[in-house]
Formats: sequence, structure tokens, C-alpha cells
Amino acid sequence: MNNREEAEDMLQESFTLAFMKMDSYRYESAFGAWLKRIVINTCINAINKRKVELTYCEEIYEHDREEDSGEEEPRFTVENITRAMEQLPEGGRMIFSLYLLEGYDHVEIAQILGINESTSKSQYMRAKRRIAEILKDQEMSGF
Amino acid sequence: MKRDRLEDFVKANRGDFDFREPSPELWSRIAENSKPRKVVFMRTHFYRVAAVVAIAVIGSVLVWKTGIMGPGRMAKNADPELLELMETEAYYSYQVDKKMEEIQKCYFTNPELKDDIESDLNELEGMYKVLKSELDENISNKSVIEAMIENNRFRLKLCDDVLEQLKC
Repeated sequence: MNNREEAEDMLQESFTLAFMKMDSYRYESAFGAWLKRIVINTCINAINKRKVELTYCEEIYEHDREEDSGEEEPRFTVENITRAMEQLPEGGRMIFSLYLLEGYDHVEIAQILGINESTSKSQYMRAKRRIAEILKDQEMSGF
Repeated sequence: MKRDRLEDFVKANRGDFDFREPSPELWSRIAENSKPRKVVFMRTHFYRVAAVVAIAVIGSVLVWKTGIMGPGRMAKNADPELLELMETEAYYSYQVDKKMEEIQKCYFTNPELKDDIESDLNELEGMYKVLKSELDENISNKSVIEAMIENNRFRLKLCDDVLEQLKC
């Protein structure tokens, strides 16, 4: 959600929903995975209800791929990656987070977000590239 | 494969990204919200409407058989009533479609909802078709049209009730 208050609202709504729907838990999957799915869906529903189209990473980042092949890679830390993620467009950030942090595959992400699998893949690549760019910029500005 | 260092780093440190904790008062708010809520059983409403529709159909058949309404009288009244019915049908169908779009967004978190509401709506739709065929057979009268409007109204109410109960 990229916002603490909203994230806490989502957590509250998801846990409340999970308690209410406890009898629909079928023991087919791990309880944690079931709960995680509820949390993710609650967030997706809330985002959909905003009636604003998700913004994704633009194609513009593609051309940087070869240009910077000789450059040194930025230093990775949890903190600077998290900060870079916060700067991604909402759609790109969700895909990056669902794939890399939550461990969903692109088929599942496509289903969750209602997009094509290929869109999920290309957006993930762009999000990764954008993060690398942001990290480089951060390093150059002495962050 | 230079970029994969980022991927490898995130994968290797996945747990460390989960560093934010919710505020402690959040758990008490969750406990407060988790008191069981009463869910309205949609079937009971459904059977009530089914009874109303059945009476309407039987009533219309009786009226038709006994010839209380002569053909001339029917022709005189049929058009404005049918026009009203068509307008009502278009209005309710648009509203139900809109509400269903909202409800469908919740299918993912409430999978059992899909069967519940869709089977109720399908049964109502089936009853509506029966009523419509009565109209096509020219046993049109006010009761059948009213039952059809009531059927539409109930479909919308069903969607409204479900949306009200849902918090997804």
C-alpha cells in the first residue's frame, strides 16, 4: 500500500475477515498461505475500489539495459532496496513485491492483478531495472 | 545476468524485508472486530419470493381461464404496462450488473459467495423466464407484470444485501 496507516487498515480488515471466514479454511494449504492470500486480496480489492488505474513502470527504462553494462553495480542493502521500491509506480511495485518478496509466480500474479502473464513478466523486469537505477542515483548523490 | 544480483540479494534476505511491525493497538481493534456477525441466509428470502411468484402465476392462469379480462380490455392496457415492464427490466438489469461487478471482486476472498449468489440469481432468472413465457402466451395481466417487477426488485435487493454484508 506504500502507506503505514493504509497498510494497518488492510491488516485489520484482513484479520477480521480471516476470523469470520475461519470455517472456510479447508486445510488444503498452509494456514499462513491462506492468511497471506486474504491479506493480499484485501489490499488488491482496496486498490481496485479506488477506481484509479494502476500505474506501471514505463518502457523508457528498457534502453538503459545495454548502456550501463560496463558500470559498477550499486551496493544492495535491505534499507536502500526498500526505499527504492517505494519510488516505483504502484503496479510495478506490487508485481516486484509479489514475485520477489511473497514468492508468487507470474501466472498467479497475473490472476491476482487481472493482467497478462507476459505483462507481469515484463513489468517485473522493468521494476528490477528501475530499482537498480534508483540505487545508482542514490549512490551518486551520496545517500 | 548482471541484474540477477539484485534478485539474489532479495531472495537471500527475504525475511529481513519484513521488518515493519504493526502498532500494538491494532491487535485490540482486530479482536473487537472479530466478534461473529450474523449472516442472513439468502435461501429464506428466496423461498418467500418463490411463493409470491407462484401465487402470481396461478392467479394469472385463473384470470385467463375464467375470462374475466376480455381481449379488448387487455389490448387497451397491454402496451403501457409492457412498456413500463421493459423500462423496469432495463433499469434493474443495469443496476444488478453493476452490483455484480462489485460482488465479483470479492469472489477471491469469499469463494463460497459465487455459488450462493449465482445460484439464487439463476433461480430467479429461471422464474422470470417462466413469467415472461406467460406473457408471450398472451395471458398478460397486472399480476404477472407485478411479479416480474418484484422479481427484478428482489434480484437487486439480493445484491444490495450481499454487498452490505461483505467487507472485502
